[in-house]
Amino acid sequence: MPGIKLLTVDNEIVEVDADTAKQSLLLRSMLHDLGVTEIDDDEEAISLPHVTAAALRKAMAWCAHHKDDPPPPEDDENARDLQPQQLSSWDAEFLRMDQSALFELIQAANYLDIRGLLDTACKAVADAIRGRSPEEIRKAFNIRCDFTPQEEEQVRRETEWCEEK
Amino acid sequence: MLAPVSGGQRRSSLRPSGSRRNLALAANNGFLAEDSSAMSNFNFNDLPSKLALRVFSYLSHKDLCLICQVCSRWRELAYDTRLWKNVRLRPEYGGLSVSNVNQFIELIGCRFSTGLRSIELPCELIIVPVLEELARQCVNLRCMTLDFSKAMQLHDYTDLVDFPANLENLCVCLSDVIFMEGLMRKIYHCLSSVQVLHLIGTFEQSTEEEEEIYEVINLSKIKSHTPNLRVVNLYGVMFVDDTHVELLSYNCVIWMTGASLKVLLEKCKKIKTLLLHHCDLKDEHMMAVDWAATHVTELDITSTELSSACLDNVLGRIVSFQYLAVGYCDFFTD
Repeated sequence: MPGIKLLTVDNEIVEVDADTAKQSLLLRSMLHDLGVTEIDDDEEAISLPHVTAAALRKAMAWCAHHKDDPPPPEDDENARDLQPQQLSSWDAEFLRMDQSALFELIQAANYLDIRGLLDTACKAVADAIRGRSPEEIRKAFNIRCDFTPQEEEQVRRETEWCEEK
Repeated sequence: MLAPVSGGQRRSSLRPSGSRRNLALAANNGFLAEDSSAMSNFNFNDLPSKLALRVFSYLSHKDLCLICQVCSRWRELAYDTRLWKNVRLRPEYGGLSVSNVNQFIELIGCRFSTGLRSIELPCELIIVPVLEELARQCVNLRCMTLDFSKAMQLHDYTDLVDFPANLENLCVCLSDVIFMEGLMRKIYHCLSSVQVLHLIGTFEQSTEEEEEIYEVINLSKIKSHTPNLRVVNLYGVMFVDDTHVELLSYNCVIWMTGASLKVLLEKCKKIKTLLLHHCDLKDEHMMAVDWAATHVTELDITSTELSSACLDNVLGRIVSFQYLAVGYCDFFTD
């Protein structure tokens, strides 16, 4: 299987299958520009300055599993489904990782331009936010509340224009 | 396939290695139950705004009104106009319920502003200050739904001087008994950009059959002010008859591929004449119709591009065929 070498930000060289890598639109265009088809021992690794090895391996594993998927539909925020989405059991299992790794993966998917993975991972985070109280969210995401009591009251008043139904 | 070729010196600049607890995120939101403070060193707030907004774009406006209370960054993100492009304010259809109209009017300029693309308004919000503020602040507003179906009476629009003028899609949910002219005469001149018009009647809500049917909105005047109108949907509007359809079809270019024909003919068993000239009909849509069960006797497919195989298929199945017009059909043979 033809492979390509990628140098990650944490200075690791990861060899990936070229066909799998092409699901990343960034890598696809890089490979196209460089005319790289096969791995060559003399070939220098392509440098990916924003991706860690762990995130890259994860992203490529996702691509390998989803290689026969149809391309994701046009990104249409207007038609975005706001209901909790059922992830496939493979994706659910795949996304069982700590938050830190998941946010890294989102960044990697964004940088590598893998829309399907980006969408899936963002949806998973949104699912974890939905329906929680602000306090629960702070705890879950380890976020410090930086509002003064006055500001907190102010924000609460800002939400008064609509009521929960 | 994914084997690392050489280790190299790990810089570990992004996060220190070390044992991390494996927390389930997708399954049952499991990670919310655990205290994650010990291990997260790449925090949600380290995501660039573009990606944080992408996550938030999967949340409803109800959720956004809650999460703005988490911290100042989340507040800033949750208020971003990019997340408020499509605003729905009819609680009975899952939208927000506005309880403070003045506060809402203030938001039009700061929260929605030029980002707003579409808005749904219930009758109590279809008032002069709201409409005028939308017209002034939201120049990119393209789709608007005005729902009068629950209205008891029309508000007073005498002072209305401004109305969104770049609408492409206008939906008016009518009430049986409220005459719309009081509003319409103020806004006809703003409708020239409208391409798609939905008039939703009360067909589904009506219970009493013999109630008198009023023509509550003037189709002829709308038509004369909407030179760009391409699609008209008159769903459940009881006063519509042939004259209205004739009126609308005058000078209309029809962009129809026939995808709706199957449904149309199933629902409307009494249709006898189908005039489809110049329609961009597709073979597969025509063949999907159960012609044998229809009462179609007259068919005009002048200037369409149906294949001969399709015509054979369709014409063979129409039982009581009396009239066919097929001028300018490329594939028409004996």
